[in-house]
Amino acid sequence: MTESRRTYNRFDPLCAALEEVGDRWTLIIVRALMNGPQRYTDLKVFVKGSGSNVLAERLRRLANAGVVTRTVGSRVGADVTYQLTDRGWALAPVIETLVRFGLRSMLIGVPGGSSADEPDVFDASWALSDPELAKEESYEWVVDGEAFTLSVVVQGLQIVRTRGRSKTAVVKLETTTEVLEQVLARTASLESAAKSGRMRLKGSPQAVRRMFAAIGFPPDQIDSLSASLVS
Amino acid sequence: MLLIVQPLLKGPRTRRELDLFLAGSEAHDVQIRLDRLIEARVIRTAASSEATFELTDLGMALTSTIEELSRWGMHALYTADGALDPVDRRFDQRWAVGDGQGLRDETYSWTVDGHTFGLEVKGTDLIRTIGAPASPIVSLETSRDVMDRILFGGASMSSAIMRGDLVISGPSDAIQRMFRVVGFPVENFGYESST
Repeated sequence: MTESRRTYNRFDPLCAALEEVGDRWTLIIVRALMNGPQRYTDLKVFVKGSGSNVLAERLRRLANAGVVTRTVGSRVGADVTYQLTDRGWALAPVIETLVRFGLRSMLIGVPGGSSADEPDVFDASWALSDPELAKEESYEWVVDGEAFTLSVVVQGLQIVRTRGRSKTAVVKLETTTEVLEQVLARTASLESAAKSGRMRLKGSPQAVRRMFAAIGFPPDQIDSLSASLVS
Repeated sequence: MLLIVQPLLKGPRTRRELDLFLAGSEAHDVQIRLDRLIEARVIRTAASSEATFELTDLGMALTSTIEELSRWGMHALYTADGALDPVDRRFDQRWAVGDGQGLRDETYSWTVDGHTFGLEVKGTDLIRTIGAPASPIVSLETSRDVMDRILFGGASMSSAIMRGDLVISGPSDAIQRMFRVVGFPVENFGYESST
């Protein structure tokens, strides 16, 4: 396979970073490794939909860049595992800011654009890798007075976003951009936003939990919220 | 895509200015990316003119992403100790210097975290060589942490020089040219000549 390494040839730290981790799937793999060391087969789940060589090729390049290392277990036939180096862990702030941007664009950036009535489809397989959590249901969100519906499609593990309210939503959430930003930036917890009434939630604790898990909210935030909902 | 967002962080840009910044890209590619960024609500055309682009609030949210990526990318760029990239590299700096007016073919020596490399200007190109270069006109010595604070932490170059965190020697006009060609933001130029 010919290596089509992307080079910008600019003396610029942004370009230097993009040359190493700017390719599609690369940061997805790095984020998967932030859950701890993973086997090749574990990582495949996170790059579902990519070409067959992509995972192997990205792992090799991440290893060359000193972002990822391989460990072979001591037992005979033990699996090779991949883990982040210190340099790989240094990407945590990059991924955090990107996730915050991504969630913002997915949850907040809905106002009437040119493609206003077209549903947007998001792959949620990375967040829904635990099939127990996936359930075909809809959630209604009202952010700054704008209503939209998020529907989970179990077949293919997708989330479909449509404008407007839902008649069948199992959870209704109402909040503001400001509060969502604080939660995503971790300057406020989901729990405190819900308790103070700045985020209003209607629905069973189980459904609320499934909803936040499906859109990829940080698990620790969901745990503290569910604990408070049950009590 | 982020390379288009990067110049817009400092304010609206005309298509012509963006083309200069993206020197080396095909005009057609730039248009496709602009269209995709508009569709993703990251940028929009300015109310004043169809040919001027600016970031939306959503696009502004990429500020911290670009900053964190740049911060991480400094490793490969400044710690040119041969461990990661043992060969000379040639960079096209038109994004930083435009047509290169006022530049000179000359060489600077940088030592970052104890690793020395040369930066040789050839027209609008910059060639990074491993090891101490012969007869540099400017020598700079600092650490990546200090660089980080100057580029992303709001620290001024003059205070870094005063504290001895950044040692720089050479004629002040050459120092100006050097910072220009490496693309340091102009607002951080606040240093006094220490020659």
